Amino acid sequence: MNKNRPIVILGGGVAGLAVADALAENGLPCMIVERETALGGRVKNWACTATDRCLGCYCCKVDDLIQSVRSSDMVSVQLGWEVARLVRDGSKIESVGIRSVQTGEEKVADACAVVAAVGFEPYNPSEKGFWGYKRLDGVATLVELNEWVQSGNLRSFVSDVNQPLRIAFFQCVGSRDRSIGANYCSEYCCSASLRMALHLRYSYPQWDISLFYIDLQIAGKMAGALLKDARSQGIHLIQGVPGEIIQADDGRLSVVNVKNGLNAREEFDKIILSTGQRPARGMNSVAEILGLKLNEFGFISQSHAGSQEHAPAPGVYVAGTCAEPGNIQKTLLSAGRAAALILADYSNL
Amino acid sequence: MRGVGSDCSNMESVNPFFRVLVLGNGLCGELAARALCAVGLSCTYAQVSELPTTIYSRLSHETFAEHIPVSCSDGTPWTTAAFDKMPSVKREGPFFKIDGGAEDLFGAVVFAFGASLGLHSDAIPMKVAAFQQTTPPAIPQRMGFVLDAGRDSDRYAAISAVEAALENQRKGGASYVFFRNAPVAVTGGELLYDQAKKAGVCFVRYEEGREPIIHQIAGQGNGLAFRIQAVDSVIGEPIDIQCDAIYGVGFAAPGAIQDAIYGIANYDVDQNGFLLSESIHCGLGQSFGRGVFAVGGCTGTLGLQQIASQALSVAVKARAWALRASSLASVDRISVNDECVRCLTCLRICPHSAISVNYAPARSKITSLTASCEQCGLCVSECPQEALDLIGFPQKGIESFLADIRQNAAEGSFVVYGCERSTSDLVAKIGAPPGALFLAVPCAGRVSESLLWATLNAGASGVLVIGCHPGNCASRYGTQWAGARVKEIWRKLQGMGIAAPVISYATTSARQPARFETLLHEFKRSLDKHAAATASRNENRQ
Repeated sequence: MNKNRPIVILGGGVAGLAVADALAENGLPCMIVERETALGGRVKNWACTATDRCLGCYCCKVDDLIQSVRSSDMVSVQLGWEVARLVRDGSKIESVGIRSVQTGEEKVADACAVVAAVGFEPYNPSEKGFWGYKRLDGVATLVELNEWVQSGNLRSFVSDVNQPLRIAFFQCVGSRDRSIGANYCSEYCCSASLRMALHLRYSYPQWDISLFYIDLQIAGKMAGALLKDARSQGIHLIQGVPGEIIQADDGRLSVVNVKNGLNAREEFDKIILSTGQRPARGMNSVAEILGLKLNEFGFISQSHAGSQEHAPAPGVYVAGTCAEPGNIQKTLLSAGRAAALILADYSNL
Repeated sequence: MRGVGSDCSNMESVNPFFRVLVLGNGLCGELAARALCAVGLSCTYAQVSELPTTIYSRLSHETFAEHIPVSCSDGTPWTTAAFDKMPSVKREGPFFKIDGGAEDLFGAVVFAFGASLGLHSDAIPMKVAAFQQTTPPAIPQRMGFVLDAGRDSDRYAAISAVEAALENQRKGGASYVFFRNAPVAVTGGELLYDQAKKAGVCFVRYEEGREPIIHQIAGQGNGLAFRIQAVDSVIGEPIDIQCDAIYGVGFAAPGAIQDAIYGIANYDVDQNGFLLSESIHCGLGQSFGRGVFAVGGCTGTLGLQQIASQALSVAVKARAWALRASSLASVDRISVNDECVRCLTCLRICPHSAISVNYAPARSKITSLTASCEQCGLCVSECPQEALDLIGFPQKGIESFLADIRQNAAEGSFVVYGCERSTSDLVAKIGAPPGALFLAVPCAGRVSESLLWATLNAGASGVLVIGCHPGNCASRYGTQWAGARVKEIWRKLQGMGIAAPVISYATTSARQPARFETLLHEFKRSLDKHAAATASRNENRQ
């Protein structure tokens, strides 16, 4: 066997951490290679949206995983490094070449398997002018809102949080959009926005909150409770996402919605664009290095994961949103799957 | 120890910690058994025919074997047993065994069965057939599918219905799908929805509260037909069509989960009645009760692909559990002194089912199951005799913390008992108010009422207990117990005529440094305000 060659995990976000944790618990050595200077991936700046109780966003799982991985002697972590090449000996993996993001220095890490867990890139709505992102005052993304809430810095967006405020969430920004090659649902944003809406309503009861959706995708064990809370808290759930945001003369944001064939104009102080998940930067080069194919959307999906061979290239496994967009729970299940398949294959690696 | 990925068919020689009992039915049971074998565990699959089997997969006939490869030398890699009814499963020390069954001991139990499908009968005025995975659109016809009536359909059931609608349409039939929320948050959902629209399937979005109205009418020949009336909420126009068949697409409902399952699953059930609570700590299929797992429709997950991932995740956790349980030396995790009167409070309160009783003629003994015990301390703080102590966080450590306060603490010092998980990383990240004395506790639930009194008696001007948010506690309800104790002390203080805000409880998470800092400063302010008010009252009296 290959006791000393670790499983190299590309990406130190939810998926990479979860795979490392699962393998370490099972006695297998791993190395996490993360190109940023901290672990946690996208979730590290995501906010806890608890009201008087946990709403099940799963963000603190990342904190648990980081603690677990840091205290395990089976996991080593390389921060500020990315993958450069894959070296095989016949069909088996021998080592992974990694490169320092800052200095360009390269080194070789022995490996018996590689897990691609490189995550996603949040959609940048500047691409479409009608959202008014970076152009109109008061338009921000769900990512930015989470960063402000998490760092306690909401005042940089809302100057006086204690004043009444009309705020709206627009769903499906950058998702379900054929024109940008994103003809899929990002699966996390309806629930994430609804939880954030509940959290804001709880923190600032004088705010009036609306959520515009195309098809509301709230599923999971807490779905019933979240929707019930939304109704009892007076959060407006409105079918139909307005097509354009303009700045009215009084400085507020003005949108038109179509309902029952009629136009209705509404004004808001702030609009949050619920941005979808796009393929990670550098996916093409990662795919090429690992010998993986990308699907039509730029993710490493194997259509129904598992419908072909479970490892898309010998010794190479995939976990998390680099395979398919999804929420944290889906990512954790996908990481568990990758870890199990590695265990199943281990004697052949 | 069993090698990873090796032949799993010979059970006799296996260390019982590495044997897993699957109690299930249908594809969920098969997937669980496959996954456990794939990671090298020894599996007995007890197939219980009364358990429900409903789950959903895409009609494109993926086989579950493709999801979970198992390579074994010969025959079925797992042992099977058949039951009509759910057998009773008991714990025996760290193991599980089927009551009245063979003597086999198992290190873990996995519940793996499907759900039932519910239809909101008030919302659909007449009884329509429930859409099942097995409903084949054999002959092209006019078919109506009613989704989301009264309650959102299960996403996987809904996507299967869209697929059935598309297949019918492609064969020359006419399909109508009435919905409120299109099921796109599933793999390939949006693409399928697009394909169905392009193929001519008629999608009618209706508003909540305005469910389609269905009438039964006379059909061709002696057959029956249906008439559906609805209002398309996008264009605001009514639609009135006739169908040969109508299906209601329901939501997942837990099949009757018997007491037998509740007991061994530590009553770990969510608000809908599915196995495993809503807590994120159960999200991968692992119960709070250690050694117990659940996979499939019985947890509320109905999609085949998701169930396969869940089965594999559970298998990995179960293998790690087996390693931990078998390799931990039998070092006690809690100590029990002679004050124990075997009231079994600790056994009932333990969220991980880690306490057992070793019945013996002379004197029964409480013992903790080494691998299951997470040393949260709930048992220690609830024991009416104070007979228990945590080996990893002993009372004498707390006592020296209190002694230090008694001797050295400055005027106005206050104590913060912070749960390790949620606060230990935050302390270094914030600017704490002066006078704050921190002690990290394994769980807020370790802070007992007597500890709160002792802390005040040691001279602290106040005590703040901080735990994880309710529903987020890794000890299931430790944080709520802490809150309840603080409230109890408040009540007693008020009963004594003391209206002092000296004790408080609050919750946070490891990623809320701003909130944590605010909580500390707010508490300090309330103490200062109270001290100032007391001082001025005393002055006025003189």
